Amino acid sequence: MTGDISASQSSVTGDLDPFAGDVSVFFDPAHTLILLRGDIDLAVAADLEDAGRDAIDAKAPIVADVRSVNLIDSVGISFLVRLAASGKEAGTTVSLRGPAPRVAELLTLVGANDLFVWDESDVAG
Amino acid sequence: MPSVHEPSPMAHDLSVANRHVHDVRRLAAVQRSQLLDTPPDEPFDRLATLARDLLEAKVALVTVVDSRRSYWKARIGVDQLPGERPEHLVHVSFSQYVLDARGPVLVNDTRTDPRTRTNPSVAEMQICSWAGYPVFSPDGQVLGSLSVMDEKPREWTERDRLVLDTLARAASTEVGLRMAMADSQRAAQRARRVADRSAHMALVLQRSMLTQPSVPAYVDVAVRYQPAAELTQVGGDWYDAFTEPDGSTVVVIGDVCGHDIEAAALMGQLRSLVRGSCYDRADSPAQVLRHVDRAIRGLEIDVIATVMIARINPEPDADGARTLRWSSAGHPPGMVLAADGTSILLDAPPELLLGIDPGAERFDHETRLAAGDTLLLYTDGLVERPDRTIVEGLGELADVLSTVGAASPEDVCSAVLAASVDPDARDDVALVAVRNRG
Repeated sequence: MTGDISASQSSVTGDLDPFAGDVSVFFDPAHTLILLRGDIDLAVAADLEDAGRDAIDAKAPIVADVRSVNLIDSVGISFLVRLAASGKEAGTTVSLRGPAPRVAELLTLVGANDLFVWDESDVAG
Repeated sequence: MPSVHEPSPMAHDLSVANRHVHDVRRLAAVQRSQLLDTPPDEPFDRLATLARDLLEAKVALVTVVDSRRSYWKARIGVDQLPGERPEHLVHVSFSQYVLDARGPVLVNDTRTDPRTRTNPSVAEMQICSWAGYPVFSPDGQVLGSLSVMDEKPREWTERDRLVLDTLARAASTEVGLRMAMADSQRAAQRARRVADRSAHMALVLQRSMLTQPSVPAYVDVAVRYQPAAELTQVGGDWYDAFTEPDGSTVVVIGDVCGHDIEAAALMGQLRSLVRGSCYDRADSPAQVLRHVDRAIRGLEIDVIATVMIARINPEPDADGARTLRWSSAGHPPGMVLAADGTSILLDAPPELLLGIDPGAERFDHETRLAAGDTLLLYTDGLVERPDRTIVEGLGELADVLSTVGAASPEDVCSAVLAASVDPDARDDVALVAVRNRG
């Protein structure tokens, strides 16, 4: 399912800059999916803030799909860490859909990887 | 029953058409459309060609009318004579009737129709029949018309009307798209200017806070702050080094998440908080970090940051070595560089960055800073690049350090920056190097 979404959207944004950051949120009764693609940095800071707030408000378990992240800087990392902390406070689980070695490396470096459950299964959902 | 009053065409022009022609909102829309005095362009030419071909007419025009003239944005079927301007004065144009009606105008025979019979263009262009449909701006102003004309009188059919209506709407849509595009380009330009200004202010703010360190005589120190190639990425990195009343040296490196003026301002707050929490207290680096993390929460400072604090004991051992005690809140590991070029990583299981959980576990670590050893603390811009992992970045940093082991802290900083920072660096870099003189 997520594969189809990114394929259909890349035709819109992908033509300009294949690494342009993009943040999309998909609401489903079972879970809220935050799809992060391209460069997750200051350019998408406002989108991240909106996505995080909406996802927490939706009160469903949150899955952040980071498989298509090209590059993530401190703006992106702090978003994920805040999301995990807010989720914990709100009683909402926050998991990351990988694999995404760069994201995992940075989260580990800042001592925050323990805040997340990683889902690296191939099952779409 | 009111009496039927048929004004003369001239009086008609002045009283009604001119009022529409000169309507300020309409003229503003014409100006915003940026279509006047622009060269022919394919979309409008295509619509005019289609109009002419589908209606088998002689001429098709797309016009834009300002206060004085009807400019031919597209003209199909009429040749432009050398030196001739592609326009008519409003009062001899046909578009004036569309402006007047704010809707379609169809004239079966221009020579007899009261609206057109005195218009000199009828004879000049040999126009016997004419049909014009309005081209609208997005805010509903009539900009001009899409029209077709013929050399012989004709009855405009239902199909003719449908075709012209559709093509005129397409022309209006085209105008709307262009205006929206131009608007968004202007907005982007404005945003860029604002961003540039704000980035510049962030840099000034950043620099004003990064003061020269004051350290005891038993250490040499060098500091660097290098902004990112892209100015908009400034903000949030800091170094600090100062002397405690007991003579120990405190070295701090930190990085507030985010790259903007807000991050620079938060950095200033956090830097002060760390200084105040360290100074003249017996607390260990880990205790200081715990205290700062609690203060961030309690004082509701909206910040997430990685920070490393190191404290160098003033009392050397017999060999001139000093004890270095440090604790790191999610910060990239520091390095200790020996005079022979070997370097060790101040590596420990990573602990959580500040601003998330004031109850996070924090530990102190100790290492020996031999005489001539240099402690190097840096922010992630030094080792983090899109094209390599951090482990690779740390490896490259160690390679550079191996060539400058005995150099002064100043030279170590210069060498490290020269080798590690790529020219289009996305991230800023703060660096502090402190050498134990023994």
